[in-house]
Amino acid sequence: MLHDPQTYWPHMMADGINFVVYHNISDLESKILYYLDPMNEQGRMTIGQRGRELALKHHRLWHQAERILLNDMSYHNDYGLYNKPWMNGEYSPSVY
Amino acid sequence: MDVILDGEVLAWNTEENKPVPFGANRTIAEIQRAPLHDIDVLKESLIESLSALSSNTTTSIKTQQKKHSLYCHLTERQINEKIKHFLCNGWNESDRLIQVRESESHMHEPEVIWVTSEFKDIVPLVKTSMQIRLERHGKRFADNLSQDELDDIDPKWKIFIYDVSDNGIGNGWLWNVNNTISPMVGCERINFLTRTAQNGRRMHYWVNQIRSGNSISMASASAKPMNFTNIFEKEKLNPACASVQRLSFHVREDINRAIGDYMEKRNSTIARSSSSLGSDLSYTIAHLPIPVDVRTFWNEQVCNTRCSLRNFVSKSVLQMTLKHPEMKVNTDIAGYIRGMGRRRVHPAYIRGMLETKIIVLAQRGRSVVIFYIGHRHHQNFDPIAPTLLTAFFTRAFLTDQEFAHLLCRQMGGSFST
Repeated sequence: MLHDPQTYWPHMMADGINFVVYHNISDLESKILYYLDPMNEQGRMTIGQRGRELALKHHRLWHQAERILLNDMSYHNDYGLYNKPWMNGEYSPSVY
Repeated sequence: MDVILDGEVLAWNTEENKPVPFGANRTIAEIQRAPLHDIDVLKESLIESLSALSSNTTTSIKTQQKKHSLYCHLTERQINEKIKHFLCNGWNESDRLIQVRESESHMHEPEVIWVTSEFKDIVPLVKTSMQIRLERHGKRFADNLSQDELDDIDPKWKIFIYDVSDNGIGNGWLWNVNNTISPMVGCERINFLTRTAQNGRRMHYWVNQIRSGNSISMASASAKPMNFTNIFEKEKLNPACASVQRLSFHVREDINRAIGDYMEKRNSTIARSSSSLGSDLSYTIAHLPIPVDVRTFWNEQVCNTRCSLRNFVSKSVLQMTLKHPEMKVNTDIAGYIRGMGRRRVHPAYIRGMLETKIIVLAQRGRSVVIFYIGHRHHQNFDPIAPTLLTAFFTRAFLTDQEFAHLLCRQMGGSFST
């Protein structure tokens, strides 16, 4: 799955790592079948688990408050205070 | 002699005609210190005390650097009706922010940061605070200070004004600030916060094209984020104020608690042995018995406004059962919908999430008209976050590409807003 440069995710979210993106209906169907396959069950659970941990470790309100109120430049980009995955198509998740 | 500071001083080796290497100076210092011991000038206990003091001071400075005082302003209505509490919710969990109360005089200290989502209510408070600050500097409002002079009064006193509306910044907020707050306190301390917004989204167009049998990529109907700061500068709407920053999606603490409660009721042993923040509970949740394969939490019976894509996706998922009858798909609403879902969490929603393997998200799509100061902008502008946000990835989420960030948003009842 490719990252859409026009799309922006919350910081450190990565397609296939802690969530999954579908690009059209047939893609959606095939990914549903893929992740329901017992062979891929572990992968599905790992993605869900990682996603929850990411949310709780980095996306609670006070995390954002700290970034914004204390002006954490590592979260700045051309669109304000946010992550920067869509800039020049660059994105390298730093946690997983 | 009171104190000898024994440290790594630069020393010269006269025999080799070059500096003594760093670290070797200690030897020299030791040689110099010995005679002082002999004549009882140097007391080791004093040195130990100074070392301890130095260490404590360093720790203390480090702690002070980490803590920033914050005043989060809520109106009485917000407090009484328990709405928009998310603005101030959970900040006491922060290691770096200390929340101060309105009644405390501390809120007028030079470095306290203010945050509010209510414009009118904060104005008199800002005025009072500025009065206190001016008096502290031996000045008054009547002095007719320039904007630069106002900015110089407690420059670390920042005010963050959070527009929680769907449209992001607009609707006269800037006008109000530029005409009421800025003249009192200057502009540089004022910052806007807005929710995530995109423009150019045409997902309804994508659905129509697909239904008509045309091949069109979802990406082409996607959008790009709006840079409000640039827009305001371009439109000369932001002559002096500071930045417009976007909040991204965050965990809704009530849903977090509801999941914890659910897990505790379901299996108190598991909940007791696992931290709500730890990976243990995430692992436990991920490995719960899961009767439902796929859920959407919405369908065309409940989502009938700007729901082309959402309903199209929901229907497509449901139709998969025709080819795969073994699949257990659920597109029903669970719990509260719309406004109620923003304020409260229905247990059925939590249960629905935790009993599903894959949750499919899809956005709504619409175009709205935005009003700025004296300007009217017709554009494809899509509020991406029409509700409060939360982030819970209790299951693998499948999201359409533009809407993927909305997996950080789950309302208390459903995705229907």
